[in-house]
Amino acid sequence: MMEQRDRARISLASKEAAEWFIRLKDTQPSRADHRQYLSWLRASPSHMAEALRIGRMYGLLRCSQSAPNDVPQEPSNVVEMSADLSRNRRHTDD
Amino acid sequence: MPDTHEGMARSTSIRDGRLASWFIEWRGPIRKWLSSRSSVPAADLDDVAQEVFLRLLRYSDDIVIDNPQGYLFRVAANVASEWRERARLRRPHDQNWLHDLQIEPANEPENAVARSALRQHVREAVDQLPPRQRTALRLHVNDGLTYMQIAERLGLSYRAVMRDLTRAYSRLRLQLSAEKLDGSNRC
Repeated sequence: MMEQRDRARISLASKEAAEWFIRLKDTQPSRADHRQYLSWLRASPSHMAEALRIGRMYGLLRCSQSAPNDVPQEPSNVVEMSADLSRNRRHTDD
Repeated sequence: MPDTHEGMARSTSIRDGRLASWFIEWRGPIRKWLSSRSSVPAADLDDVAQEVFLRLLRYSDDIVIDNPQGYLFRVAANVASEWRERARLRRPHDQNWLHDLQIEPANEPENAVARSALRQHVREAVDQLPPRQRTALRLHVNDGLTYMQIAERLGLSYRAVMRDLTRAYSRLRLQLSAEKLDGSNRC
C-alpha cells in the first residue's frame, strides 16, 4: 500500500517535471515562468530529483535513438535530420 | 517534384536553425549532467538532488532566473563531480596511483557493452509505449520538434500532445528503474 502511494507520488512529480522540461525547452519562457519553475523546484527535494532525472532521461533517449521515426510523412526528412544530428554531435565532441 | 524537394529543404533548414539554437543553450548543461564524470551510484541521485536543492535555496532568484534549468543541471554535475573527487581522495594512497592509471571508464569494453545494452533497453521501452505517445516522443527527441510543431504535424491540440509527451516521459521514467537511469550512461 505504502509502495503504491510512493509510486503515485513519483508518477505525479515526474509528470510535473516532464511538463516543465518540455515547456522550458520548447517555448520562450518568461521570467514569470522561470519564477514559477523555481518555486516548484523549491517546494520539494523530490521535485528536484525528478527534474534531474528527466534531464538524464532525455539525454539517454537522445543517445539511444536509432529507430527511424514511424511517422508516415516525409521519411527522407527524418533521415536528413539524423545525419545532421550526428554530424553536429561529432563536431562538438572534439 | 522539384517543388516538394524545395519545400522539404526549406523545412529542414528551419528546423536546423531551431535545433542549432537549442544545441547552444541546452547541450552543454545536459551533456555535462549526462557525462560519465557526473554519473553517480543509483542511491546517490536523491542525495545529489538534496544538495542541489540546498544550494538553490541559498541563491537569490536573480542569479538563476535567466536559465534555471541549465543552472540546475550544471550544479548537479558539479556536485556529482565534487563527490567523486572527494571519494577518490578518501581512498588510501596506494589505491590512488592505481586510480590514476585506470583508463577512462567510458573506454572500458565492459562499459561499452553495458551502454549498448542500456540503449537497447531504452529502445525496447520506447517501442512499448502506446503508439501516439511513441510517435510524439520520437518527434520530440529524435527530430527535435517542439510540442506545438508536433501538434501541427499530427493534427492534434497542443494540450493533447503535451499530455502524450508527459505521460511518455513519466512512464519511461517509472519503467527504467533507478539504477538504469542514475548510473553512468555516457553517450
